[in-house]
Amino acid sequence: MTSPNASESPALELRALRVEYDQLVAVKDVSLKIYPGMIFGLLGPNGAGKTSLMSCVAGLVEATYGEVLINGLSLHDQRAEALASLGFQPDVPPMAEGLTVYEFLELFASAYGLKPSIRAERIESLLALVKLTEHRSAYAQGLSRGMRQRLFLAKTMLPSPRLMILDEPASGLDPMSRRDLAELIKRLAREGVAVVISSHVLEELNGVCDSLAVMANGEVLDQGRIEEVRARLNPPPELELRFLEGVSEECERRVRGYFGARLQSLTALGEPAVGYRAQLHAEEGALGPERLATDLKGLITAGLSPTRFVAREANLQDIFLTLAERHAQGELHAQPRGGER
Amino acid sequence: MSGDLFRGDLFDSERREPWLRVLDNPILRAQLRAQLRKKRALGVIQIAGLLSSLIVFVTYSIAGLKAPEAWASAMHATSWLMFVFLYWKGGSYLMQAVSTERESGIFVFLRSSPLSALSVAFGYLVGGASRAYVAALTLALPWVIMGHLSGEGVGTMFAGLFYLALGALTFHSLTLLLALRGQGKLSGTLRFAFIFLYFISDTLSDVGVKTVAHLTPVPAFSALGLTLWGEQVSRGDVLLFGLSLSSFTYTLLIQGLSLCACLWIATRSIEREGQPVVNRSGGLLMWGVTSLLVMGVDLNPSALNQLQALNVSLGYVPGSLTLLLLSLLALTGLLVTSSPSLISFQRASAREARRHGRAPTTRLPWSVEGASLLPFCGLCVTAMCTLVASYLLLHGGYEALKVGLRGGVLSSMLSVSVTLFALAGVSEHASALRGRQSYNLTLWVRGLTILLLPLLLALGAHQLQLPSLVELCASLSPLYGVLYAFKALWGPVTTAVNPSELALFTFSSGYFALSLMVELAVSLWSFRGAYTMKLQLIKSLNATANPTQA
Repeated sequence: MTSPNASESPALELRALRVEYDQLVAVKDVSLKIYPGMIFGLLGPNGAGKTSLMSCVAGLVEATYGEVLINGLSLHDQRAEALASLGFQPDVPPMAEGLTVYEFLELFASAYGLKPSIRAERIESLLALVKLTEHRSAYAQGLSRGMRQRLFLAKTMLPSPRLMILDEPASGLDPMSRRDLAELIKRLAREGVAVVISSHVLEELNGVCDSLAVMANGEVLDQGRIEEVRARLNPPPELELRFLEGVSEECERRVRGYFGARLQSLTALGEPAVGYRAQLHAEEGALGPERLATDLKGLITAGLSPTRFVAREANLQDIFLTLAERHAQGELHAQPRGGER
Repeated sequence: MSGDLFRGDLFDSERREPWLRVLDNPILRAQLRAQLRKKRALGVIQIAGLLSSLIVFVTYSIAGLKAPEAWASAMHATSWLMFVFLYWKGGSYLMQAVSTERESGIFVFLRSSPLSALSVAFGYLVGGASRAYVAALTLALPWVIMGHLSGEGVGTMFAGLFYLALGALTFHSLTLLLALRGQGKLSGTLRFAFIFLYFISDTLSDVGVKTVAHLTPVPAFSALGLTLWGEQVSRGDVLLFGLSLSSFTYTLLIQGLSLCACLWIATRSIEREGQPVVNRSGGLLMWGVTSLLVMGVDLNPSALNQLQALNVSLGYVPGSLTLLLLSLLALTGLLVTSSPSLISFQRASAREARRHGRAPTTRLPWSVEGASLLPFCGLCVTAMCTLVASYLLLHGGYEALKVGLRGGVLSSMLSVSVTLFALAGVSEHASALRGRQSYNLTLWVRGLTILLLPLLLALGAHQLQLPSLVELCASLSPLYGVLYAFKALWGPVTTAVNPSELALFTFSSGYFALSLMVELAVSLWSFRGAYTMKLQLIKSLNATANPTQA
């Protein structure tokens, strides 16, 4: 992924964006900045306002107020120019009736104003990219869901957009296609495209996104680079442990005995239990290499035979769940941070 | 996945999205592809071809080549077929095409492309019914030949084809509007209504209702010496405020304006779902142009005399029914549209201000999208009064005034408009004072004003022995205008009115002036209250939006 340049202008900037549907406020004064080369995950439960926010950026829903700037162009004042540099893939890709796969792409190639002389070549190259060349003459409506997703991905890339918004892009894709999609997204980011992805399957975003925003009830609870958000959450250091002895009272007693007051909680891992998850009290260097080596030796000295000893960092799911829980408990309020890097 | 992801040479460097794409229109091309696929179009074309061949074969077998009357009948039958394909099937195809795309979601999705909404509307308008045009084209060549054999000039036949296609396009633009707003069921009714209009357009022209008749190609056909059905009737020119226009020109003008208006409304529907059908300035323009045309062509003194003579000969029934229907339409519109909307106006004002990076305005904006009804009604009333005054001046005033007063037309029209204005003001005021709870209140206000006061007039005037007072209160209701019109139309009316008879109108004129004053006073009071409340709301919005400035 490219490292963002401080002098670069954002590929997408939202300024106090608000989307209302009659009495419902779907997006509450959200401000974001997403820079070229970022892969930005938009997380949140159902009804958090993710789709409304993305639809608003894509020009499908009108903002109540606030501003959307796509590559520095105002969506309100320079709509056509702004939309020309945006690729949007909705969660359920619509298909035109009576058009073949090739004709479907040609429809959008023309709609985006691609030069007529280059359209055919561009379509063919993208069909090859999403592995649909063999289906070019098939009716688009007859494609499977996964194929439709791939076709729409090709449509999204048609105008070489500098900003891509993908709503649940992996739904309906087989594992191989998911892997290909993740690779493609990383490649797009390397080439300087800002990619915004929303997904309920958080595992899909792990290792793909470098930044995120967590939404709930139309508000952004936290946003920024993943490591920054993780640091702000300050999750307890956690170890995943498995022993040759399996799971027993004796084993648990020895683990507790070794960690002593450092141990915050010890819970069984898996169903049926195959090991333990040990949450330690936060302290400087709790998961540092030296401390980990000492702990491993200590457990062996305590008479245990570790077969798995892994220091676990908070992943996207942990971040999301922690933020959601804190928000539900009223500990956390939306923050109007502007996506600073 | 591998391949060429990004290219810098995809676009012309100087390219800007045009407001309308005609030839390189992706929707048009996609629709043509979908509609004219062999398996979809072949059947319709075969049927059209077979039917025209059959007509030619039968006519030739029976009458031979040199029988102008027989070929005229054949041409007449082919006209019918073209009409069926263009209007009936074409409307159906277009409706189906747009509905399918709406259901699939692709339609909404086109909004996220740089393609202009006008290009999208144009693409569907021309492409959606293309199968019907192709079927009609299959019939067109035999039709021209039949016309030639019946003694018509080839130029005349091609001109006829042009007007037939223009009429179809106008009709399809109306269908497109219904399709875009998801009113499929109404589309069938519209087709019936339009076909009915074709049948009665000759009659309408005869009685002076020329503008509506010119929505069809029938007057142009008649002027060309052709006919779609029935006997050929020769039509004279159309007089627009005394200016003579040929039927061709007036058809072009009416249908061109209708087409533009429908395309404009369709464009708005495509741009944003749920926004009002028209905005203020556009709505006023459409209303003004329609009023000018109707006043200039259909409501001039001679046409009104014609209408009045027809009305008298038919026992005043047509006039009464028309007036009643128009009034009911106005009342329905009033009930449906004058809901409290000051808050939405505030939102719209705040949105505009935020978009343009300035503080919300403290002036009342007259043309903010989605704003309240009040300024619109005010403008409507002003424009209507100006138009009526201009019309009276243009047509010599006195004669027209007599006809207008006698028919109750002016009183109904102005009463409905001013009451609309007043009630909208009350609604706004109540909305500003009580927010959402005011909806019930305003409904009651409307109900009382529209229904209860005339009821009092009918039931209580005699018992109270105060007819004038009750009548005065009743003047707040637009129903009074209707009742007055009824009275005027059902009562004995002589076609010639002497100036001395004007004394008969003194009471009603004074009464009408009084009702105007009452209603305007109510409006101004409501307006002032709403305006004060608006300023307070703007202050609070300003404080919320810009806490530092506040």
